[in-house]
Amino acid sequence: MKKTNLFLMIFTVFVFIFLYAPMVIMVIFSFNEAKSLGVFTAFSLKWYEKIFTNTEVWVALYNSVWVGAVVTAVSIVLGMMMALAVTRFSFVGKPILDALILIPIIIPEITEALSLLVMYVFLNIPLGPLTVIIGHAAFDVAFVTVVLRARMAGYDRTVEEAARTLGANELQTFFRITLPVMYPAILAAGLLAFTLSFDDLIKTLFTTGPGFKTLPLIVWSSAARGGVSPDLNALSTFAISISLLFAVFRIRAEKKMRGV
Amino acid sequence: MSLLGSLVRKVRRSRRVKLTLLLAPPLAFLAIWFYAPFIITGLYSLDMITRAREIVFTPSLKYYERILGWRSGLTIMLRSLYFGALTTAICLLISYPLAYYISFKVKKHKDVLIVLFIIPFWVSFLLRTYAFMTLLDERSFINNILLSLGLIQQPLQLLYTDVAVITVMVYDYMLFMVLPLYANLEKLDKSLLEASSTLGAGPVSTFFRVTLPLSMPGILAGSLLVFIPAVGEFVVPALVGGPNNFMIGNLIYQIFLGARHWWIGSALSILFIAMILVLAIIYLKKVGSVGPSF
Amino acid sequence: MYSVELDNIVKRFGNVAAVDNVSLKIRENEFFSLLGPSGCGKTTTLRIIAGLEEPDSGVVRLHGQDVTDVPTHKRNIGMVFQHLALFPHMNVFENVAFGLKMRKVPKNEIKDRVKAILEVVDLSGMEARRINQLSGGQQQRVALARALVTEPSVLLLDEPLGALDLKIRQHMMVELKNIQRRVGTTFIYVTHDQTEAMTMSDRIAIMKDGRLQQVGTPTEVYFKPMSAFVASFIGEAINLIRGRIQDGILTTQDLGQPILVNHGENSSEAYLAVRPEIISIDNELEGLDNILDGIVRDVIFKGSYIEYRVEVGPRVFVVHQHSRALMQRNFTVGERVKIGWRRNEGAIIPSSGV
Repeated sequence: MKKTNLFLMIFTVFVFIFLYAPMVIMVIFSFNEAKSLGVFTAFSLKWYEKIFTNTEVWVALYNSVWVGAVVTAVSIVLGMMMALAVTRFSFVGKPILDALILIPIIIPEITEALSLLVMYVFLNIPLGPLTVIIGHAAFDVAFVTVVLRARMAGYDRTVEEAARTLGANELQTFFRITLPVMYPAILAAGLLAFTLSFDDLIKTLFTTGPGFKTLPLIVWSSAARGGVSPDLNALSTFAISISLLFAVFRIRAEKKMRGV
Repeated sequence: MSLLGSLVRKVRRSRRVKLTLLLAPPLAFLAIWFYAPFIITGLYSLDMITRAREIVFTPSLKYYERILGWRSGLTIMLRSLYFGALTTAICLLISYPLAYYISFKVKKHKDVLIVLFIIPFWVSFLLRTYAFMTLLDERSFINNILLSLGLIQQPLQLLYTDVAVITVMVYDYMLFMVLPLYANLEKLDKSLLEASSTLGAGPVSTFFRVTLPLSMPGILAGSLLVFIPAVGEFVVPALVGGPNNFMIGNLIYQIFLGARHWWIGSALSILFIAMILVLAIIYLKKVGSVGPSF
Repeated sequence: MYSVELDNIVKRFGNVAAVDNVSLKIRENEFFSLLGPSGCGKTTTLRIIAGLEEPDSGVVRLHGQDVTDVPTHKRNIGMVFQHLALFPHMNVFENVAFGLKMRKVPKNEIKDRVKAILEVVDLSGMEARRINQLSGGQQQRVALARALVTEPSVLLLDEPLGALDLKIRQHMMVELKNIQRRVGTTFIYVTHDQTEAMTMSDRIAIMKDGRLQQVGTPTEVYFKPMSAFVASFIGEAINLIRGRIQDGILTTQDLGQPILVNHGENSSEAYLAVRPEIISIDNELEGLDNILDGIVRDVIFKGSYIEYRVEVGPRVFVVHQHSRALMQRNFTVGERVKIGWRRNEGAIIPSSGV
């Protein structure tokens, strides 16, 4: 019994090393003075200097952020409507609707992205930021719906009835009660939608137009073209820190929600 | 009460009207931007759209027939299934002991361990894959150590191999196996294990006769959540594999954007989607609903 | 004029009639309870008064005015919900002020009125507290203050004490009645707990399966039940004797002797309902209209009273005696006793209530 426990413990430690080692090593070597990926010679910020003086990186970051913001807004509004409809109304065909919401989450992203591209070309829609945003949102709406709906399941609707008995009409009830009470759930879903959009590669890759690049697209094209390089390490480290920052926000929003 | 007034009120209070107002915009959005593309892809796959982008109503299955008679195409499809299955199996073999250990053996700070486990997955898929490339590269830190220790004479060629593709997929998808497994094991009533041991079962037979059967739902959920995206993987083989390790996602990509043969590419996509949906339906019938657990 | 009138209200959910042709007239400043087992339609009735449910047919009138088609927020009612439904994102002040804000009351006045009502419910100085910082009883009072501050013409309460533990509940019952007297508003109180209904109400309506069973004062429904259901639902125990009534005499096969009852209608089938505390028990009894011989089968000490189960032929009568009687005499199992009561102390349930 003791032996099994010891074995399991060591095994777990190795799994954790397996999980963290690649990123830790990548981060370490992004601060390496030499171009080498094998020997750490001295601490240096020169690779960061290189990427931060590259306007393409800044433009891509800017694009990622604003695309993410628009996608978040669209998917929150639409996802909220769908989640409200599903949680508050009973109607025939709900199982079909459930399937329609679940399919975007199950279907392999690459077929979704390519089909969208096929339609854009078929309909002569010029590729660019707009087509990217639509591509992200089509997927994120489903995701936001699923998340919001799970959260709304525990929402006590009598607070809305209470507001009605106190003289609030339907709109006042929605804006003064429903939205504020759900705010943490919406915030969490929104941050998730933003993260999904911010990190997305495949749909961006296929639906973007000439010259419009996001951060993952830059990482992808230089990794696919030139493999591992120290400046790409630096860029990835930068991107990782943004991802982690957002994850922390999301966790906080969820904690706050549980507190209510 | 005037008749008109009460009619207006009826409409305003009508749940059907509200429901329609709520559902129409998101459903229209999904229909146009998610489902319509698949219909167009379907039309292409049935040869109903010409090179001049005109729709013709003479469906034909010839592209499906061509795919099914295409050896190297089938090889890649089979490889995808094989890679997917292998990734799933390895994920399970690694995740089960991990989830079991955290759920059953760790007393304090379980939550901390789980969060520590999840943190690497907050990083995007692409960046995780890239980070792993830095380990696999022949100029990498690992190769360097092995060389200087004299364990190997030449740097290991790790990139662009099957091993690399599978390893990185395991690395990328492990979360989807661990979380459902852990959730399942946590829900498992620990007194059942005590009951089993009071009935004379040793730890080994308790595990195989009680714990393992009771954790089947978690195993099945995790397997599906890993298998489906793994089969359709595109980024990992493209970055750490070569043409010999390509999977169906890469093939579809090649046909669409390399060969620009949209008809075959569409047929292949539709076949692939059908396969995934069939798998998902079989699974849902068996296990119930999948909730994304993060 | 009546505060609330319901005319032939019907509300169906699917095939089930949750409220089945209910008509009620509730007076001004009355503490009125709707009492019944769960699923009897009492909450649905309350929600129809509030406008939270629409009746399939029937008319709702508030102060004589037909409000059947008026939406909830224009009915000027107050409501306290079962789980209180306090707004979690607002503090005590904001919760209480909400209804006044909706009515566009000037800021200064809102302040004064919130302050005044918090005094009434004994929560002065708690304005800035968050809801989750309050105890169950305090939350209760916030919900009450929130519903009362707008000076509604009717206050609807949907099992508001259900979530509290016994001690606070008993305290809140007295408190609620006091508050009702002070603010002088009609209270309509839904509960499945007869103690709550008995303690506070001026009148009680008892419901079952969507239908009204009886409306009356607590003593009326207790001592003069109009149906077998009311008789057994209200109070702890009751003795029901079924038989034929002819010229003030009830005959039944169970008992060897005729039972004297109040003169009234003759009926081929009716119940006589006798509360256990009305029945006297002793070795010798005189001067009572009905006296039966029996044997004590069970003696249960319940604190303030003793419960005897007395076998009379094939029947068992439940008899309650004040514990003080124990000081003089108690009866033991197997002992032969006499039980008896006066003819006007029993209630006859007409055949329509059988």
